[in-house]
Amino acid sequence: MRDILPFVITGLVTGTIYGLAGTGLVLTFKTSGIFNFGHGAILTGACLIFYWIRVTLAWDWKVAFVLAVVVAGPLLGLVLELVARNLSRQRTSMKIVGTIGLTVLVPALCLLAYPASTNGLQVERFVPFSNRKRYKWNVFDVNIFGDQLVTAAIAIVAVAALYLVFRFTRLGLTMRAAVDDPDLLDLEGTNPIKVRRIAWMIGATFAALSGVLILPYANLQPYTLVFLATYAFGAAALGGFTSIVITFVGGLGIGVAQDVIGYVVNDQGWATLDGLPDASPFLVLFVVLLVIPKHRLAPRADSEVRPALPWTGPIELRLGVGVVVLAVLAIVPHVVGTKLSFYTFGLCQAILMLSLGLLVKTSGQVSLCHATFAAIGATAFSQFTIGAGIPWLPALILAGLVAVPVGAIIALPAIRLHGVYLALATFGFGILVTRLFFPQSWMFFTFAGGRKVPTPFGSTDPQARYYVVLAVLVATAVLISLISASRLGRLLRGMSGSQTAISTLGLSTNVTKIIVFCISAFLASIAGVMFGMSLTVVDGSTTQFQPFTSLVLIAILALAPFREPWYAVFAGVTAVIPGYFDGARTPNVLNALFGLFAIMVALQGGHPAMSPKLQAFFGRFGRRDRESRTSEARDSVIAPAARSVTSVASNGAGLAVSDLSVRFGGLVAVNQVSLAAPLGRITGLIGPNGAGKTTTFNACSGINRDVEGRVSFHGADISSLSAPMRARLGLGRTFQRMELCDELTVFDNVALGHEGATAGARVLHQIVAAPSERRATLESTASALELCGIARLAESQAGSLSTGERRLVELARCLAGPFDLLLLDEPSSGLDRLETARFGEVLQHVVARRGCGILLVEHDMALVMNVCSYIYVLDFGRLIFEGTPAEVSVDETVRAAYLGSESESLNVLAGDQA
Amino acid sequence: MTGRPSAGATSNGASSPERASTATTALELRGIASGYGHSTILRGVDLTVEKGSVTALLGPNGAGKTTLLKTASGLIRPSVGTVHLDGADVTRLAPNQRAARGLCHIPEGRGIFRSLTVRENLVLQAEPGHEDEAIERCIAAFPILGDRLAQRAGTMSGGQQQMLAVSRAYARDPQLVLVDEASLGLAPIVVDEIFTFLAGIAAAGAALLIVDQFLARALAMAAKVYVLNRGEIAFCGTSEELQDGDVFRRYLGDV
Repeated sequence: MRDILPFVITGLVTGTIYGLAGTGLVLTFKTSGIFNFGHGAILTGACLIFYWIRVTLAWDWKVAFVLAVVVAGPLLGLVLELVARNLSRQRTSMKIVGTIGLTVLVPALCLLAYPASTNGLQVERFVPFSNRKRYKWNVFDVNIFGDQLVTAAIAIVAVAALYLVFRFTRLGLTMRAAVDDPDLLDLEGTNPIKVRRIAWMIGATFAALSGVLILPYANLQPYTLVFLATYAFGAAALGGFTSIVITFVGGLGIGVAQDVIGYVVNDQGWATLDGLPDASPFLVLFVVLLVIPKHRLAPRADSEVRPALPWTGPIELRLGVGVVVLAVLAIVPHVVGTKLSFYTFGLCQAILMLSLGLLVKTSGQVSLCHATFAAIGATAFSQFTIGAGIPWLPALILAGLVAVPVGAIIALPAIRLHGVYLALATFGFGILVTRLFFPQSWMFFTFAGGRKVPTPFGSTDPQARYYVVLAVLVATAVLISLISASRLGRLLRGMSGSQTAISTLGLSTNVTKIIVFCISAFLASIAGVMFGMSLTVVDGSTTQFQPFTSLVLIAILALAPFREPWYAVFAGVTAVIPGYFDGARTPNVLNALFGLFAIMVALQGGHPAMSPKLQAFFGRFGRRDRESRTSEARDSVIAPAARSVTSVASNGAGLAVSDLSVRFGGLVAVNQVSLAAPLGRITGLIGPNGAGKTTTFNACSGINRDVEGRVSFHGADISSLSAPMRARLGLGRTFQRMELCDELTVFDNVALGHEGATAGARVLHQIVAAPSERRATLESTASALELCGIARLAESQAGSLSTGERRLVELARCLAGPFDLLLLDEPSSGLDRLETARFGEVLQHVVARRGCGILLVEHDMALVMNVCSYIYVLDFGRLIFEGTPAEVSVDETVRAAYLGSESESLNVLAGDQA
Repeated sequence: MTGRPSAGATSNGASSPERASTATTALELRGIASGYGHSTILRGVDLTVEKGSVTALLGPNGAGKTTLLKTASGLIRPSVGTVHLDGADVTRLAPNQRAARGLCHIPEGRGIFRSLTVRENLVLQAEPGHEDEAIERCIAAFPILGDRLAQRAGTMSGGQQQMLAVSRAYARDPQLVLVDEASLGLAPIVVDEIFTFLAGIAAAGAALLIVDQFLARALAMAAKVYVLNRGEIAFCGTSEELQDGDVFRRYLGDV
């Protein structure tokens, strides 16, 4: 125990610095909602300023300290607040890309400005009492030095001061209020932007301070420094990304754990765990994200800017471009001479980018550990070929398969987490694997000159190597194109557009996520083999396998224009550039550009759409066949139309609710409500604001299962079933705040209604659709579009429609699926009078044709009175009346519920008020 | 009540308060079109609230009442039209700048900071430097809040939360108070208390624009009534002019 004490003390010192960085991070995240992956960029920038003034200019440390921390910190904070404010309107992926751009940009700038820093920024201990001979105390046989005490004290004082401000001043109060409800703060007369600006200034200053404090103890170069702040991510995770105090304590814990584990591992001679100390903060991060209660990480429901609508060129154009690109690539080895290795590299990069793009662009997930998958592929392949003597091609496939279970592991956080938390989990995982497993003998022999990665024919001819990689790239691109055109592609785009919608349509998105992560990991692993082959030997320090590369990849992907698979071309080109601009500066110039442009792309919410002029120009290369799909389906639907009429004639009992009660804390939101929504009629559920309509609705659809009473469907008790399971039984729903995939066409949106339910939770069915199933999808889609009267909109993009049209699309999506009872949540909100009337007609038409049932939760009395044959009225959570529209319209209780208490309303209405 | 603090009309803003003293309207919306993102909710809305008067804004759910109040207070920028406070164009001002000009918007669904204590909420409601004074006045109006100063606001009952929310109308002597569904989900006895409080605010000289589902109470207080339906003004007149059948029919959108 006594042996450990010195390490506890050194750990505490570094721990205070992690804690300092962590609290700054949490402060900015809480007040602005933007998680700053670029926290380390501030730290790095401040360190470089300090180094430059202190070492290069040899000025007094106090001047350096003031300029690097007190001046640069708040200034950087101001810039970041501006970036964060603009990012807050963008999609989550853009928020992540924006701050990652910063992480890529700043170290590159540092190295460009100061190339010598590549050897590390070495600074003497500078704080007061740094003379270790004079200021040394012995406590329990442990030496404690003055500089350690001063460093820890500075960090503790800073955090304590922040805590006191946060807790006890009006400024701190406004910060906490800004976390709670920035709009309300604004209404109360405090500008939330000013509050956030101060929070960012403090957060950035803390990052700068932590960097400068740790500088004498860590002789690091910029690319390593930028990762130092990520040690604080683990601390922030321990604090639930909200608590300043727990984050600080978490930082202390991580610091101590690192040093103590390091000592124990060393002492016991556990060589295999050499990487554990450095991996421990990321182990903490990953594990916390896996176990932290989900509701603690609920994303903020900010309104987001819709992405630009993508455009797909005609098939002739795409095939033509494909042939041209392939032809150019085929002659490359004969014209580029000695630069060929860079082109080979470009092809590898393109493969990796396709794998990442499938995940990020198509399915809307995030991975910050793709370089890690590549490393796994290269090392596994080397083991299979050189170690086990397996032939080249089977070994390649096996190497890909090795990464599949790893991809599945990453899918676990993807199932639980969204957006920034998923990004953090993958980021943590990547570093964890790099630090813990790369040094293992079964991954990279760092001491034996690395692992050899052979070519197929034993040939070392660079041209042969190039063509092998090209063949693999073409195969990958074809595969990605096939996936994109298959059911999986459609489901992935649907999941990216609206996960809520697609899971209530009956799709198990958990299965979809596992599939896409596995495929992506497989392809990334293959890309890793290609990288390895073009390098011939790889080891733990190969650039392409480092966590930082994962970040650069995300930045490049954000920059790359065009849809799959064309964005890979851009990625490939970026890898070729260094071949023509050799010199030490090139990689840094490139990284700086990637980082800068990634920030700019993120700030404007992604690439702008292709201009209509260009679209028209490219469109001329194809035949005018855009209408064909719909008309074809429409033709084929004439016969099956009869089928759909009889399809729901089963005369099931429909939905029945008995004695439903829902409590929120002490409040009884719904009290002993019973109602029935049988097939073949439209049932209305009405009531004034706050009557419990939506609560009842959520209990029926399965969004809230914490209820008393019984919900049954076609006679079976479904009270304990999840929403997707209820959907698969035939209970469909729409949303008050419409959930459509704005990027997709109306046809594709509606088709998801059928495909989502058909695919369900079955893996193979999620990947491909049998021809008969595909036909069924096209037919029921066309029939649903027809039924709702929106067939003419089939090829329009959902995001460009009016609210009224979007309501009809949502309805059609339900009708395309195998649903025989539809729950409609306030479908008339946002519609004008005419649109509402028309919507009502469509509903009646649908029920007459299909024989399905509808439960209409509505506030628009005109609509309800016109279309419902039976109406339930709720007030204060109780059923106060039920009957036909005629009965409802003359009932005094209903009138009183809408007008306030009975006696008063009568007085007022009699013109009798005082 | 004491005169309102001078903060309002002279604070920085995009427009000069040239008519500040002579204007007879506390709030004037002219030709407003407004909504969220792509969806337009209000279409061509004109609405005026006279100084020191009570106006009721009625309409079915989804008619755009909340959108109208948010447009008036600046949480939403209208795509077309202008907002005037006390005669001055404030269309381009942020909510906090409008608050400084004497506008108090009590939003729907408990306008309080749930994670903060009651005292902290009251402090934020008050003019900086006048916190203690404001807390005292709020406790005088709602004594129950005085017993709960250290409690987290979000853990109080719905009625107490709403009292805390509306007490903001008291903290800074606003010229115009927008109240959105203050009685929603509350027991009748609490509703009485809230309305008595609002009547007191009106009596002290503030203009009120009330959105409430309890039509009877809202109408009893209001001199002028607007009925909003599907984002358009369906009726404007005195509450006497709004007859029995009319109210119900217009309210329910059954025209």
